[in-house]
Amino acid sequence: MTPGPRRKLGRNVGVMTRELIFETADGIEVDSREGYEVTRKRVLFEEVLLVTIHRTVGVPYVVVMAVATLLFGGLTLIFQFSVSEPGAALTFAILAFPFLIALIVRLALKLDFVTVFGRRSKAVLRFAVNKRRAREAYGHICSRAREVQRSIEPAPAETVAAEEPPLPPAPE
Amino acid sequence: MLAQTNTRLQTQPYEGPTCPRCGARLMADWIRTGIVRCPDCNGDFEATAFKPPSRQVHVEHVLATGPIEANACANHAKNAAVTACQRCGLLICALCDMNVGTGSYCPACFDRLRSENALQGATTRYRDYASMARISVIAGFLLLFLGAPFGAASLYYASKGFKQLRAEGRSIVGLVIVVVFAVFEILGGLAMILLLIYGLTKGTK
Repeated sequence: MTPGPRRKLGRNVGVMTRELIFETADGIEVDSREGYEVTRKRVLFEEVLLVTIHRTVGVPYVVVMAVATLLFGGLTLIFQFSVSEPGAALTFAILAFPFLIALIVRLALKLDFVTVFGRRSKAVLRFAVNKRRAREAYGHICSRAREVQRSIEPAPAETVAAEEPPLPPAPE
Repeated sequence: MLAQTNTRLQTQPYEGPTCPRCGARLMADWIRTGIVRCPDCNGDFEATAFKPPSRQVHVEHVLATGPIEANACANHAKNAAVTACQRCGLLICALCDMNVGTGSYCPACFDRLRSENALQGATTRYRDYASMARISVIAGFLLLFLGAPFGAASLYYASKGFKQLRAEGRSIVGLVIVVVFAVFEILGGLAMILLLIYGLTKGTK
C-alpha cells in the first residue's frame, strides 16, 4: 500500500467492474476488486494528459429497467383487468415499482463520469446522484495535476543581462 | 485470477486518451481544453488537457566530478554514485536509484523487495482482508453449525483487515460490525454443538 493517507475520491461500479478510486500524494490509485483480491494501478499526477467530465444516461441500464418495468407493469395490467385478480396484480405492481423508480431516477439525474487519462493508465470515476461531487472531483484532480506538473517542470534558463564591456577609447 | 487479469490487459491495452463516451482514440488535435465534440460519436465532453513535462534524471559522470570527489556506481562504472542502496549498501547512480517514496534501492534489491510485496509504494496486488472477514461471517451464518470456525476465521481476517484499513485511512465501522457478528456466530455455533451433544447424550440414556 502507498505510504501516507489516501482519500477516497469515488468509485466505478458496473456490471463487470468494481473499482474504488483514491487520491494519494503523487497520484490516483484505482483498486479493482475481484472477490477478495485487489489489483491496484496508479495514474500519477505528473503523467496526466487529459481529464474529462461528461454526463450520460447509460442506455443498457435504462433498457433493462424499462423492460423490467414493462414486464411487471404489463402483468399487473393483465391480472387487474383481464383476469381480475387484484392480489396478483398488486404483487406484480410491487415488483414493478422499484424498477420504475430506478428508471425515473436515472432518467432524471443521469450519470456523471470523470475520466483521468495518464500516459500509461486511466481512471474512471462514476457519480450517480451527487453532481456537485463530480464537479469538485474534476476540479480537484485538474488542480493537483497542474500543481505537480508545474513543480517538476524544468526551470527556464536564467537570463542574466551580461554587462557589455566598455568600449576601448576611440583612436585619435 | 492472474490469468484472467492478464487476458483482460492483453485484450484491452491502454493506448492513450480516448473519447470517454465511445472509446474512440483521440488524435493529438482533439486533446485540448474546453468542450470537445468526439468526431466518431458526436458526443460532447468537457476536457482539461495537460502537457506533462518529462522527468529528466541528471547523471554525473565520474570523469566530470573527478575520482576523488565521487565514487563510481556499482552498475555503471562511468557514473558517479549519488546514494547507497538501503538494503545491500551498494553505491548507485541516479539511473539505478529505485525510489518509490520508501527509500533508495538498487535495481536487484528493488526487484526482490517488490516480489516479496515488502515495498509499500510498489504494491499492485493484495488481499482485501476486510472482504474476506465479511465473506467468512456470511458463510458462518449460512452454515450455522460451523459458526465457530467461520467466526474464528472472520476474527482473524478482521484483525488483519483493521491494520489494512488504518494504513489506507479508511473507515473501520463496517469491520467492527463484522467482528460483533463473528463473536455472536462463535457463541451461537458453540451453543449449537453443545445442544447437539446434550441432545445426543440425553437421547442415549
